[in-house]
Amino acid sequence: MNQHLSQDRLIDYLHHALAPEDDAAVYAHLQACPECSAAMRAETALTEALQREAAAEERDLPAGVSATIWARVEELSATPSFADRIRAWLRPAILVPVAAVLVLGLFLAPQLFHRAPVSIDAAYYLDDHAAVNGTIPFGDASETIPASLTSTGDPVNASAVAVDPVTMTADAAP
Amino acid sequence: MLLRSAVVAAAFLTVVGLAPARADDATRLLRQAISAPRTTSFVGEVQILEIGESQTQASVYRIEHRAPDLTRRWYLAPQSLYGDSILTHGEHRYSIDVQRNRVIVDENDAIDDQVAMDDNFGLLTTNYRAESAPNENVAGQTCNVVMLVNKHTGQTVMRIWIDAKTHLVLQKERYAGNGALTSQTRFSNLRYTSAIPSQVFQVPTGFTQVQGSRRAQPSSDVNAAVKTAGFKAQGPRYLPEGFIPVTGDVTDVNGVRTLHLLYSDGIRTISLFENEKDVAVDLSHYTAKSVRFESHEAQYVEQGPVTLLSWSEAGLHFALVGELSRAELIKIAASVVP
Repeated sequence: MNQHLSQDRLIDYLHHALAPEDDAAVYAHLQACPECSAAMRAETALTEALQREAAAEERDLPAGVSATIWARVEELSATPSFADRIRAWLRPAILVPVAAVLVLGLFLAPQLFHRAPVSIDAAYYLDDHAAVNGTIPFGDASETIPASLTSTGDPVNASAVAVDPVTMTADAAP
Repeated sequence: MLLRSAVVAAAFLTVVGLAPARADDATRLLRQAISAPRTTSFVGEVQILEIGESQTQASVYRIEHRAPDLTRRWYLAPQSLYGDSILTHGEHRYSIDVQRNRVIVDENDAIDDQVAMDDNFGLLTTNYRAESAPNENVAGQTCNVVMLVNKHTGQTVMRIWIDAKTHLVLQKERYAGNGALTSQTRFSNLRYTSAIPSQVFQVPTGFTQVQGSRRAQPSSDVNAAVKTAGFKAQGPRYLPEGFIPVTGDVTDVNGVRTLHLLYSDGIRTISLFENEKDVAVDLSHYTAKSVRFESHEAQYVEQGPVTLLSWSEAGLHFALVGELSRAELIKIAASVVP
């Protein structure tokens, strides 16, 4: 295996999704190839970061809450009277965990359903301005350092929207 | 005797090719200079100095160019970019960020738009007069020097040193309205050669590829672009003399439709970006400053001679980008009235 490993292959290796002989071959290649080994480390770091992120977002119910609720449900299933059932529901042992679940839900709901305000990195505007300068005679498009290299942010996801067919109306101010 | 010596000296200079190109040749030289990289291959070093109103930035890169459209720029300075490089394969650009171990891939269909280039050259000759100056030597090559003088103001806005043999631009200077130097680009260690190995232009492996922007060929029908935006867009009512709308395009940026209008006088350009909804310009990666005009709280950042001015009005968000002075950009911004 002299060729460098593809990213797909690295990901499969990382997730133990390769056949044993392929797994062994990749392992051997990684021992001998510093570039692929570096790529592997980067991929591992990314995976770990994603796992940490996912773990941080998990919200477990407080310990014992679930068990308490089920215990009370079993007690109530012994066909008590209507008044007993009402009293039972109003007892702190039930009310507190239910309230806790409700509060937790209210706390998480905005995070789950609220869409963060969209913002566009200034680097996008600077780069796009430089890009359209490519057809301006002696424009600086090719000389300007791309803002995406100097900015510490991630590149903006931008794709062109088709504009209707053109006729020359360069003097038509919008 | 003195007069006779001067006449003889002038005749000698003319004979050896150090005399300036004739004025009527200047425009032809400019055209040849624009297309020179399509036919000329070279390696060298480029130094760029960009002088803004409150900050200056310098960069130095090694350049390898194989005609017609393969280029690699390998940064030597500033220190933060040392080792980074930019590969250009026609309309594709690969920005190799060594520190972050990634390659940002951009696509720009406008690069090969010959019609737009011809139109813009026409705009340049409408607004600027090309004048020849005495020849000079840059990077060991004799250069024809051409000055571009604004026909409306009489000010020289650019001076270009064009290799007399290959017509490659070896030095270029831009000047502000008051005559101050705003940028200088200069070649050194230049060597013309087409023997540049293909590996030089290969995208290196081992980096994570990140999709950057995909730019379509902008439309010269600005009205069509405005209609495509999907909201009631506005243009400036004031533009410096000679500027006209040149192109418009609409791009989906982070899920937000953004209109980009480009105005130019043939050399200088201004971009006006507009979008609606709750979309702010993220200036957190820059040193932003506040400025107030009319009733607007605006913010601006400077990148060398380029200023980005950002403000909101009537539910629309605007960003104005250009190499003009901040005062001039604010005057244009104030004339954008939704």
